[in-house]
Order: sequence, then structure tokens, then C-alpha cells
Amino acid sequence: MKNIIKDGMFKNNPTFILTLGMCPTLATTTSVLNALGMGLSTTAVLICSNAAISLLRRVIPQKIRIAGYIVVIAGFVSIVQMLLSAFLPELYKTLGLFIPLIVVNCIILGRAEEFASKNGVLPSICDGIGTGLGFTGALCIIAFVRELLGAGTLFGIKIMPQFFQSASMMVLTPGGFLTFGVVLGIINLIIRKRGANK
Amino acid sequence: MIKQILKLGTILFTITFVVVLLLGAVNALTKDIIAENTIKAENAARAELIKADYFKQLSENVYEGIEGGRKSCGYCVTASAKGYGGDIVMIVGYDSDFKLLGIKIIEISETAGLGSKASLPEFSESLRGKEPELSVVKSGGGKNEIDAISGATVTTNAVAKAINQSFEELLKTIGR
Repeated sequence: MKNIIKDGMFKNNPTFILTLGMCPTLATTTSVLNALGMGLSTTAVLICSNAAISLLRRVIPQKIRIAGYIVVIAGFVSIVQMLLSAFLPELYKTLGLFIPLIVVNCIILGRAEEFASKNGVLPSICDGIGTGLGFTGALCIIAFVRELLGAGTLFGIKIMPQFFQSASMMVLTPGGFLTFGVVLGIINLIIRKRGANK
Repeated sequence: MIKQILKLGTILFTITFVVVLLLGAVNALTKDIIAENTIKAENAARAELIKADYFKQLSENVYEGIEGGRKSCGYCVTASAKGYGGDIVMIVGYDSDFKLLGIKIIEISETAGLGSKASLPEFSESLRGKEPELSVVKSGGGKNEIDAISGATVTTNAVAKAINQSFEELLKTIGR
């Protein structure tokens, strides 16, 4: 079980290894707070949808599986949205915009197809936890760079000294692509070095 | 062949039906609470904009702040305009001289880190004392101008539009 979680976080990291869910990654890494919010919300949905798809895996026939998964996932997200909006309105105000974004996050459908449809409920939940945490970590790394260089802040608190001219481009789309590319390159370098050492 | 299609269709229908039932149930459960939360948020927003004993509703969107039993101490108008990512809903606060006190955002789905800055207290503070009809300028705006939020011109334009609309409605409601 622990291995499944670790795999989801590192070996099968959704952002840097599987390169899934790029749109929300670029959109929500403009600040570390947003990255954290998006990552944790996605993790919650991942756990629930993986569990549900795993439970239904013998019920949904292969031929209509994509349609079936989408109905279940979209239904889940809508329910989470309504419950949050009603019972945790303060949290909903901060995370509210991300929740509809989660439905179109390829990671959810990807893991449902790749793992949850072929494994038991408990392993699927672990995969959800690992993948979700891996996603959250990846988002935070990218957001750390973008917010620090693009706004001079972290979590909204001014970190960079007065003379630092923040590069607004970093919190716009080009900055997103650049940061992602550079971090991905560094990670690939580390992986290759590790492989050579073995 | 037909039998297979019917079987697949029925299964998909059943799954969708169950999900829709669940959605309907949760909606019924939360609908009233969500509506109540919105009203609470709006009341809280008005209280933050104007220190009044209570708010007298003049029309659907216009509320007058009353203190000391009778004295009018300002107005709050609910307004909305289409921003970059959907409608921005806000409450605009005016003092008794019809100068802006600030805005309280109720609903906003603008770009995180850019247009979302319209929700920041600093932005609302920057509007204090200004008078509609407002237009948006790059910087150094005067009494009738808002400084555009860097990287969020569409959002700032929407805010200006909503404020101008609220001013029109306010004047119309109190008959000026």
C-alpha cells in the first residue's frame, strides 16, 4: 500500500512524469496558496473518484467506460461543490473557482482508466492519495518559483527585498511554460544521473 | 447487435440516473443553506462598508444605511458586470454625498493572482472618495478614474462598469 502512495508521488508523478493536467497546472501556479488549494481539492476528488470507479469496475462495461467515468466524476465534483458552498462557505470562497476546473483535469480520468478500473478499492484509494499529493507537490514547486519571481511574494507575504523588480511575465502564461520546462528539465537530469549511478 | 446496444444503453442510463438522483438530493439539501449564506454574506458586506444601525431596503438592489433611528448615513447597491471569467457580483458603498466608500466582492471568478486582486482591501480602499461615472486609466487616476489592475484590464473595466451601473440605479431609486 505504501508503495502505491510513493509511486503516485514520485515514479508516476502526474505533472512531471505523466504530464497530465497541464491546463490547471499552468493556471493555478500563479501563487503558492492557489497551488495548495487546487492540489488538495484535486486530491480529495481523486480519492473519492478512484474509490467509486473501483467499486463500479465490474459494473461498467468496457465499451462505455469513458462516458461512465465522466458521469461519475462530474457528479462527484458537483456534489463536493454544493456541500462546500453550503457548509464551508469561507473555504468555498477561496477554492471555489478551482472546483469546476477539476472536472476537466486529465489526471482524474487518467487514474480512473489506468488504475482504479483495474484494482481494488483500498489500492485505488492509495493511488488517489499518492497521485494527489504528487500533483500538489509539483504545483507548489512551480508556484514557488512563479510567485517569488513574478510577484516577489510567497503566500502573499512580501519576501523579496525592495530593490527587486518582479517579472510580471512569470505569473502570466509564458512564465508558466518556462518554469514548468526548466523544472522538468532539472528533474529529468536528476533521474538520468540516478539511473547512471545504479 | 441490437441487444448489445440496448444493454450498454441501459447500464449507462442507470449509472446516469443514480448520479442525477444523488445530485438532486444534495441540491435539495443545500439549496436553502446556500441561499441563506449568500444573504448573510451580503449583509456582512454592507455592514463592513457602512457603519449603520440597520439597512432599509429601497429597491431590489439598493439599501440605505440608517443610524440613530432616522439619519441616512450612506447607501449600498448590489451590482454586477461580466468580467473575464464570468459575472463579478459586488456591493458598492456610497456615503451620503454619493462619493464612493469602497466595494465588497460577493462573487468573482477572475484569473487567480491577477483579476482576483479586485477582491483585495487595497483595491477597495483605492476607490474611496471617487465619483462615478468612472473610467479606467493606466495609472495616476483622478476623482473619476480607476487605476487599472496590472495585467487585469478586463477585470478593472468590469468593476468600473458595475460601479457606474450601481450609481445610475442609486440615483434612479432615490429619484434624482
